[in-house]
Amino acid sequence: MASLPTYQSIHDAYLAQVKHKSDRLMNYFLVSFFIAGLLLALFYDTWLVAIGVGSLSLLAYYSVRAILPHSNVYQYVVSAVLSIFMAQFIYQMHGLFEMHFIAFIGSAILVTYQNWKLQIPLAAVVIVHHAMFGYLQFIGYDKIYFTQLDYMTLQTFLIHGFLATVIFFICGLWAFQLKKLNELQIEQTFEMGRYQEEQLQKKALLQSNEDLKKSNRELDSFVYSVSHDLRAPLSSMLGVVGICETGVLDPFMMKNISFLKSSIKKLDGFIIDILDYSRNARLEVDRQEIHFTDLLTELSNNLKFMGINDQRKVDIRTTVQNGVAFYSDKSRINIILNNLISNGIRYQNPQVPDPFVEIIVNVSESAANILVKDNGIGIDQGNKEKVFNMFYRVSNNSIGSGLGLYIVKEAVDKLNGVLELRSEIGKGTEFIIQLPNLTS
Amino acid sequence: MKKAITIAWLMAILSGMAYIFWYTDWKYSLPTPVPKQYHAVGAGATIDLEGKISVSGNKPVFIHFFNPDCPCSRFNIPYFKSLAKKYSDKISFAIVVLNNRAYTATEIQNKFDVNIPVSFDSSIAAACGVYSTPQAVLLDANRHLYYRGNYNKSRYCTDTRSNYAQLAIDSLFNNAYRPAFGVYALKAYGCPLPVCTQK
Amino acid sequence: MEYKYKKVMVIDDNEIDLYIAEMLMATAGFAEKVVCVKSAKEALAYLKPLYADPDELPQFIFLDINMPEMTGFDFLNEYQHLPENIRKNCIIMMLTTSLNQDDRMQAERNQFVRKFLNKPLDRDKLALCI
Repeated sequence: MASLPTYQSIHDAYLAQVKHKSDRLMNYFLVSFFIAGLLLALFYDTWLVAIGVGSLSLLAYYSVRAILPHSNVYQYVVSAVLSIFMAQFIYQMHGLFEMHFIAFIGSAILVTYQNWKLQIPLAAVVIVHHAMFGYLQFIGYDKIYFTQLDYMTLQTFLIHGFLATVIFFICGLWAFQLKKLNELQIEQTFEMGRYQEEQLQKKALLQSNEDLKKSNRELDSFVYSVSHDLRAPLSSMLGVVGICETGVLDPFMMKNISFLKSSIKKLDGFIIDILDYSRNARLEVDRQEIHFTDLLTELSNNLKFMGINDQRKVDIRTTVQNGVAFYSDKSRINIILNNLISNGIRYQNPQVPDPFVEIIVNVSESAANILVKDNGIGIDQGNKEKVFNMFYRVSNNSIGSGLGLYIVKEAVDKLNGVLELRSEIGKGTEFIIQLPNLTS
Repeated sequence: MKKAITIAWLMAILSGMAYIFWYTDWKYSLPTPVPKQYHAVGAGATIDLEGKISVSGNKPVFIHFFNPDCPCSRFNIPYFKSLAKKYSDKISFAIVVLNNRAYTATEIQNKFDVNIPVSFDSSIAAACGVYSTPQAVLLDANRHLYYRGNYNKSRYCTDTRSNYAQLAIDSLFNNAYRPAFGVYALKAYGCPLPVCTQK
Repeated sequence: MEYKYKKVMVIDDNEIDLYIAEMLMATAGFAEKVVCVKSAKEALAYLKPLYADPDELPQFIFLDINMPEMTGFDFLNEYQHLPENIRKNCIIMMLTTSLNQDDRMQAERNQFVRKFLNKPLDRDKLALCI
């Protein structure tokens, strides 16, 4: 997407356009003034003045434009030039009073630059010119005369000055208003453009959101289908292995079968973990009432029969204190508890006579506090951080996929909960989880 | 640095313009050069107009020397017109055209929009001692030269405060003393006469 | 040998899974006769005529969910149209490898399904059925 134009750049572009247009107009005006000077020269043969002063004026303007092209000094020069043309015409017509109107024409022309300050050189030349001649006349310098009026009285001077000032002021005002109006329009156009951009962006964002959700759903069902199709033959394999087990007494065969079984279970476990991870990462947080007692009963039922390689059955004890209704994402809580409890079973301490996993749940209005405690082999202090890493397993003999605790951490994070691990090698492990109650 | 150059340059141009104005002014302020074969004709001299201009005998005669090619003369046209209209019953006006081109009397009269006799005889100028245009010559009823000079103060003929021709007429009729016309009145300003190539 | 039940039916499109179920029932002493059908259609065809002979009805029906043509849920839809004496006699257990929560919820909501079991079947799971 091309970078959005800034207000400054639009403003600058507009100013450049105004300048360009005005300069073009000015070219025509200046040439016309010069030609007017030539035409006026016909009256009283004032060719020297017409050509000399006229070309000097044009020279002044175009040379300043060439020397300082990036400044707008030349515009002030043109303002002065317009008043000089007025003086030139008055002179050429030997004081014809009507030539004064050239000054007002000049003042009006300058409005095109939308800069009120350009009136100043024009006014200045006119005032200085009048004042100077008036003064000279006043002191009796008899070589000066003024127009066809008998005398430039102070009163005349003041009236002229006042009216001229009024015209210059009005033209300046219009230049200023024009500029302000156009700036306002630019601003509004810009805002409008920005607003439309924003709307488009919003729309695009919403669209992309929808697309993402859709692809999430599609991926989800893909993952389901794939995991299902992967697990079906595995479950068949396990079933057949189970049948072999019942019909075999030879220790050698039984050992082989048990290895087969553990490998298959490992693979199956890995697939389930992948599925859990995928669902946790992708699915939005669901919200429903959680009945911990039922949930834990079901989990322990499923896990009761989890025994690998002659591991003893682990006692699963649950204590649920329900005060208040607790709302959260059921499947994620399932995943969390399932992983933690099965870890507790998997990593039991063979030295201990009564391996257990204890789950204590306390529900309050703000959160649910869950404690999963076992008397298993524990986790080394140095590894406490690492266990939550993806695919971290404490040893090669570990039964798990390495994903379990990673998924637990991700799920707790997704629910904006807090997870704490306390453990001592040889003594046991405690997982302390706090999950916010999504009451609304 | 560039700014300094620009300012200096603009100052130079400004001085150039000032110079042009000043120079032109100076030129205008110069009196008309006196031609070589000039015969001065003093005040009071009798001017013989027989056969040159048809003017009625009793009234004073006001002769306006006019050259259409002279800008000064052209500038003067409205003023002379107002004078002619104002004193048409008291004075006989006439115009003497000093120009190489062949104008008809009607053309000239149209320029001035007054019906007064026009002559193309350049000898009248010499007779009156006129060597530039525009010039006003006022003869009294006896054809004596009462005033010959500029219409008003120099510098391109626009200072109406000093209407010398007007003053001359007024004093003639008031029979008062003849005012002392200064150099500005008498020293001819304006365009020199063209050399006559045809009669 | 003492069998707990006289007859059970297993509906699964997978031959191996049928074999597993059959062997398991025998070794666990769960059922005397195991009727294996490879599709829901065949199951319905088997059950329908038995309304006249309710003693021949299976006491348990182990029903797989993911089957081509007619899924386990399709079977349940058809099952509810069967005469009441058939439905009264059969307890349906759903079997699947699916981890899909929706499947589980749908199964548990169905009035005819007693339990939802994960494959593979084993003796411990059979023990739950009693």
